[in-house]
Amino acid sequence: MELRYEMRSGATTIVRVSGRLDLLSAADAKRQITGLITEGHRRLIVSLAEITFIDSSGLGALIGSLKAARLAGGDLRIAQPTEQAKVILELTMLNRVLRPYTTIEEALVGYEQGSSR
Amino acid sequence: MATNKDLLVEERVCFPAVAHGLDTMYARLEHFWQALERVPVAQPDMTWRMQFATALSEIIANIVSHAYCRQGGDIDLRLRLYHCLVEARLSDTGVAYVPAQHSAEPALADPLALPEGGYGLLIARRALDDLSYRRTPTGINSWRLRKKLDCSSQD
Repeated sequence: MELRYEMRSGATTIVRVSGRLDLLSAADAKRQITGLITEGHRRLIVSLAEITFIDSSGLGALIGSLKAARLAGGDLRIAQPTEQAKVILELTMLNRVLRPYTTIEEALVGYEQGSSR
Repeated sequence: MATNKDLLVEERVCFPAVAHGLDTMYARLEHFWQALERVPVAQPDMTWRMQFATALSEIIANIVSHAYCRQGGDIDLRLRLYHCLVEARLSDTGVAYVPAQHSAEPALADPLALPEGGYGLLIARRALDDLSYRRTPTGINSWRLRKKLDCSSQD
């Protein structure tokens, strides 16, 4: 699993996760994302376009990161879910909480318009 | 009920409960899908396969984390194709599975109250038609995962 990030306009940070987001990498992913939040990146969009697999541990890392962002006064959205990521979000119905945006641009529009979810 | 005489394809692999061991499992699963495609049965679509692979991965993660407490150990996997059913059996020699006091059902009204773990078996149960566990008198944990193929269009 690798994670990289870039700043976008409006103080939004795009986080791109690649590789497997699973039992073996989830803790590291959460640590890196919450580290960004601690550094002041409070509006996050996590792109899942490059993940090869996500399991419940990976989902837990995203939930933990969402909670950290909300507690810091910000938010976290996910974008570009793979088909397998959609499957796991639908099976848990967490797609209602971690609503997956089809593109990063759609997720950005929501932030710029000030919508909460 | 599926019986051995209805068995069309079987794959078996034993792999260590560590990172590279999971790669072995996925390679065997891919081999199984290829064998399934050569048999005249209802072919599952990609969503079906993802659900099955996800369920399989969640049970394996449970074995790695809880049965073997991340200390390693071997996992035996059998993948079986019957006429209208795919079955996986996972066996390990770790500690017995003990159902959690509560299952993780997402509290959709309050994201801050969402648990960050415990979704694995929920995912597996919802992805499958049947999930069962037993522990043998000799101390072997055995999980059985079953998912039906859509045979409605077949004669």
